[in-house]
Amino acid sequence: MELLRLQKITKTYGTKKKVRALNGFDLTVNKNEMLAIMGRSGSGKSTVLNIIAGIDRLEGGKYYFENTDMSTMTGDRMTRFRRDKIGVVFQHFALIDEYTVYNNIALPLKLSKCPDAKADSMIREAAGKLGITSLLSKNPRELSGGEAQRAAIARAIITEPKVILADEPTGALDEENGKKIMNVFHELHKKGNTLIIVTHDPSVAAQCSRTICIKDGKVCGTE
Amino acid sequence: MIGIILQELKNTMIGNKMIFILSVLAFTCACIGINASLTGLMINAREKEAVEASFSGKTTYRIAMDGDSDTYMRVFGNKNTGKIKALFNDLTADPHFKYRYTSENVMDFFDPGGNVSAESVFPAFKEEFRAGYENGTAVYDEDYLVLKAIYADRDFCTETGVKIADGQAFEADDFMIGSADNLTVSVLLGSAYRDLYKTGDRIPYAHLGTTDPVTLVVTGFLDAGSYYYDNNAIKTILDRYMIVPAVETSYDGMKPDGSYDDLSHAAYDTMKLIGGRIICENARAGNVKNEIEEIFKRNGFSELRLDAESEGFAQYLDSSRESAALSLVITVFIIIMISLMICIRTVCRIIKNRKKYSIMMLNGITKMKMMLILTAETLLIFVCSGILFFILKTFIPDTSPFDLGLNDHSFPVIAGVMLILLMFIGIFGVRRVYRVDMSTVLREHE
Repeated sequence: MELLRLQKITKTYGTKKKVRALNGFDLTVNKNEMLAIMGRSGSGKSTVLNIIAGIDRLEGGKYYFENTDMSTMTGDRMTRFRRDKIGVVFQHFALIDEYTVYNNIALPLKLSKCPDAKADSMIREAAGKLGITSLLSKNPRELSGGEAQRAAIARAIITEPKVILADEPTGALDEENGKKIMNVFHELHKKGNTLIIVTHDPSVAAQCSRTICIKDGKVCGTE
Repeated sequence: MIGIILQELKNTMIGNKMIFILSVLAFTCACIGINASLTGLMINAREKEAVEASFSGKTTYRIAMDGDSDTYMRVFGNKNTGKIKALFNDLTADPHFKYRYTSENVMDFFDPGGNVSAESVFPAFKEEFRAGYENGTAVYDEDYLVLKAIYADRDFCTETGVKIADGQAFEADDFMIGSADNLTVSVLLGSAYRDLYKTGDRIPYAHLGTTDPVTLVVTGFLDAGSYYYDNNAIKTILDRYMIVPAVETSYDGMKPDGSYDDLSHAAYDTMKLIGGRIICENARAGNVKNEIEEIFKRNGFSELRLDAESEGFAQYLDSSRESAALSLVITVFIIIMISLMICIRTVCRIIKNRKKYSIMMLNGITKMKMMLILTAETLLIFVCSGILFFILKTFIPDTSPFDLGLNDHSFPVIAGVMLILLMFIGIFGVRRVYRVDMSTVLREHE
């Protein structure tokens, strides 16, 4: 069952020296799919994630999410869509250093006016699933890479999003921590989550149910 | 959301302690500067209004006198009463200028025989004391009372600031006394007296500089807030004043020994001359001065002279206007500097916190909430500055050269500046934050 669809997406960066990141890019992602996006640096992998997450605006083409046209959605509507429907995990975790792990995970809930008691139980449940309950009072700087990434995943899944986007989630981790993070993703996939993972690592891609390859802003192959 | 704002404020106060303290001090100084500049502007506006109301754009002279106390006694001694009356009549009759002699003085109440005391004769004595003297500056004991009074000339009731609420203004007859026996004098009372008297009431044992008491008859009341400007362009609110006519006599008060009776002497005492004011059109100023000096000479008062009043005030007003303009420039400069300081601070904060703000945007912060976060710190700086300003105001006495007396307009102006700056920071800050390339920042590794 289709979750999102990108049709002939174009995206250019820069004003003087223009770089075309996506050039008629097409992609359909089904619910409960675990998709890997591979490609060389600068091929447009991260741009795809940014467009799906509403971080970047597309220039041409159409983007449908659950059959809703997202192409023209802007401002606070897009922000709320991202908060409610999308969870994003970055290579370098994107945690706020001044906040505790607890407050980092709580951020999307606080911004969506979730009652404190409900938020607390949701945070502790997510932390329990990811094995970071004992780290909730710590600051991100006190965590190892694997712990920080698990905290970032906890924040990404706390609102129970329709899709989790992960941009090189194991790129900054050693092999052991990388495996742990992939195990977490497998668990989420088993529970019905849809995941889109951008990676350079063939072993990560191999664990996904489908892999697409991007070259020059277009899909160049599917496995 | 409140939790996030509090967390941000905590970070600001603890993480950037020194910058926060400096910002608070800078804005407190700005508040002081704005207050001082506004006070200067207001004083100038008030002085300008007072001078315009007092001098009406005409040339005025004040009658003054050369000489020591002996000269004074000789010139205004009882035996000269007839001469003074003649001079007064010459001055009031001349059509080329207006002679004004309204003066502020006191009204004494006492029983000259000492047979009655205040408590027995004036049952409402203490209330009168309260009504007449708000701050207790009156002389008051068991048998003596002094109340504020204005000795009004014939034009007093037509002054712009004088409004009769009840009763009637003085008429020509009120100013002219035909006999010193069983004397009654009309009086208009300030609004503070309304609870004590009504029109037609008689107030005994008043003294118009005479030994024998006179009875005051209340002819009316002034509106609350009625005022007049004296020779120094000082506004006098009349609520706590008794207004009595500066009486003249139509009878010859000379006694067989050549001296004059009390009332005649009191009616033409120094108050009618020293401090009296000559008002004329600017074009006639030179001629009028010569004419009056001629009148002095003709009546044998070579000791009297004319001092230019309006010229001095005009010069004073010019310099006051210059300092007010300078105050305005300083105020505007201060406001521009604060705006710049806060803008620079906002930009620095956004650059420094761009990752944090990007993470907040990623996790769904709306523009309005981002605006709240960006303005919360500035609001805290404003609140702390305001508190510091009021603490300083409390501890610095009003008489100090650094007087921080808060004028009526400072609070709304400072609050307005704060509001505009907050709106500016909110709108400008959000625009600036949303220009940050979120995807690049979030992929950065620190």
